[in-house]
Amino acid sequence: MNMMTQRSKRNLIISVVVVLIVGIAIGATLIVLNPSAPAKEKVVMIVMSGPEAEYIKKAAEVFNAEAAQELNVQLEIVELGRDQYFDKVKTALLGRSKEFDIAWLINLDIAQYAKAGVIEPLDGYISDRNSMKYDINEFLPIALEGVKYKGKTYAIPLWISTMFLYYRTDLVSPNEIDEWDKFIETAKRFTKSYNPNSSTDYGTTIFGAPFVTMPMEWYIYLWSYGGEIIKDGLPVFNNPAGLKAANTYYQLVKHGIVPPDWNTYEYPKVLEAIKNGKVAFGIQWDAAYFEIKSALGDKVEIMPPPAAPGGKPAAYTHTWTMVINGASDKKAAAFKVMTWLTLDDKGAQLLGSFGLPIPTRKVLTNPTFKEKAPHWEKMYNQILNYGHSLPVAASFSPIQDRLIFYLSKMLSGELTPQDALNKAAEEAVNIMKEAGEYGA
Amino acid sequence: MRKWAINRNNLFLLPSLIILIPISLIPFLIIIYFSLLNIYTFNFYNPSWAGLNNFINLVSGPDFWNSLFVSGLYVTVVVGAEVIFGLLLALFFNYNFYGKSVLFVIIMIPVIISQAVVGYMFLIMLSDMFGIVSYILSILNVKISILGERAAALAAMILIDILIWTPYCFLVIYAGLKTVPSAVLEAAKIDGATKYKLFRYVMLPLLLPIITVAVIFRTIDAFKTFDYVYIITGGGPGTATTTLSILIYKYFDSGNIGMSSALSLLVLIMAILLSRLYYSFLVSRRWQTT
Repeated sequence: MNMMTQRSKRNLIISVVVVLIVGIAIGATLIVLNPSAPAKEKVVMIVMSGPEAEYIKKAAEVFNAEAAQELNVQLEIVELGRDQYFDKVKTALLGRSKEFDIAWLINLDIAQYAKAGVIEPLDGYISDRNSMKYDINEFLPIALEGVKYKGKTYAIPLWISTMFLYYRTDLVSPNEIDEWDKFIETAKRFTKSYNPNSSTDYGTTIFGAPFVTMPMEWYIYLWSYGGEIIKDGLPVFNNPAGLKAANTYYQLVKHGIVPPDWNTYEYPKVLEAIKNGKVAFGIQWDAAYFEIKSALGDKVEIMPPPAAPGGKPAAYTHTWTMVINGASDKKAAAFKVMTWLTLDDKGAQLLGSFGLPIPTRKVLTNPTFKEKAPHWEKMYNQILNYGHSLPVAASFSPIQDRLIFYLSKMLSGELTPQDALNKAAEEAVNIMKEAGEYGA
Repeated sequence: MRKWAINRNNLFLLPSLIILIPISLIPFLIIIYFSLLNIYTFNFYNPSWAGLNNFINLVSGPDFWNSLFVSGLYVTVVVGAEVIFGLLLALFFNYNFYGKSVLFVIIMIPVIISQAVVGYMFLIMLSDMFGIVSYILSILNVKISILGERAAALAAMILIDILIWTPYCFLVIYAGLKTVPSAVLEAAKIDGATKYKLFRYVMLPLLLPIITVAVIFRTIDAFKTFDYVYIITGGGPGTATTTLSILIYKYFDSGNIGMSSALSLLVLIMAILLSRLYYSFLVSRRWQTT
């Protein structure tokens, strides 16, 4: 019995060795027979979860099937959750990690990474005819301007984002919510604690979670009251216009017209609240349009966010872009991928056909895109008429993060609106001084 | 001969040192260096010298003290409750009963689940409009926003921690309980010890070293609690659940790496001091012989 076991073991070892030798031999033969077949460079793109990540994943499949051979590049998409995405990008870029070659960045983050020297300037690639097969001026000028820092281009625009006011057409009319005062009063009417017969639990929602989207929503209030974030190298968001904006924002929580756990509300929860008819109207990203529309159909429509009494609405807008990791060994290959996705007839039109508003003339005027994204015309007009751009400064991103901290304190009642804004402005001054941008 | 034996023994430390130096010691030294700089994302490779300013700014502002209070309360309550519940569970499991092994597995489930999963699970369950807990509370006519009210949010985080980590304390103490010599217990019983006296004067002193280990590990770990608190509340509402770990993260997230590093160092020092304090208290002879 023992001898049998020993023999079985020996046979097993011999079998494994034979399989290994045969495998190595086949592999070696294939390489010898096909010495000229160069290995494709694998470019890794890190993306943040959301509808756009799904579009990019589909586009990557097409890229790998149809363009990879010609460009000699393989594209791999790595998706990260919304909570961890920005930290991952920050630590990897600052640590000069090579774990990805392309990252998505909101254009407001470009300056700080450009100043740190951890993302690749693209001007050399753009002017090199071997690497740039397309016309960079295909992008809308506003989109190109937004990816520049100190005259250098650091990113390729991928899509423009804005926020709409989504409202239930069966419950409210636009003129009931087009100004902040009316917005608050109408929200009370659709909050059960004010009106037990309300068909919705609460009037509206808020991006109250301490995340980057919170100040982005608040800027809509700020701009609509005529305020600015930074002006002439000074933080000015704590001026009287800023205070009005902060007060109005705080009223939503104080009056209880938003869900009481507002501090946990970010994109997914705001989406669920609107989609499931828990609120009558709410500010939300354009990316949510398809999901909300498919859930509520004609019962929901979009309009620009409210304005100050007698004033003009303001629209938040930013561009999501692709940057090349400064530590990447595959920068040229990464550039090819980025331009294929946004400027190539196949790649760009494919993304456009999903409804992704790549800011190029070709995509935005394409009938397939228009059909897929019927809201685009309104979105375009909103950006054109009411759009505000964010300051291009290395200090802006950390200032915005401090605003998250202090706006959270304000909404919870820990600080008064004026104190919260003053504290944030005080820290903004220090950050701007450190970046050499104070008073500049 | 003896000297050779000591040197040879020291060699056994090498594998762990080879791992610890790059992943622990070097980052620790870097953190010390960063804490002395005005270092942000934008000047990461060209920061200016801050000296002790980061530490001074921290202790002179309200945020550090608020987070210290939140963390202190959090650590005190969760460690105390987990050790007490863990001890009670261990004593309960010391008896033989039907279904013991199945119950053991069920109790251990929370430890096995990833903290991030726990976070998302409770975020949904505690949500005012969509959560099952809020739904049950509304049926019972209890009007409270668990995540929206400051005290309730902190209490919820504490309860979640107790739910997750009590099994860990139970496991450690139960293992210790199994090592108590039965001869000692039998001798005490023959001497007429009541159940209470058996526990208080025989079992508890024998369990103290293992309880000390559980308390130290849990204290250090509770100080570092981050994942599910951040996922569920993000430190809010306001700063109601902003523990020291979350404050460290918030500074880092703001790109203020200097402040984040300085606070990390302070937390490390506090964790060491607290562990040392526990250790001294729990193993003191006065406690054992009282």
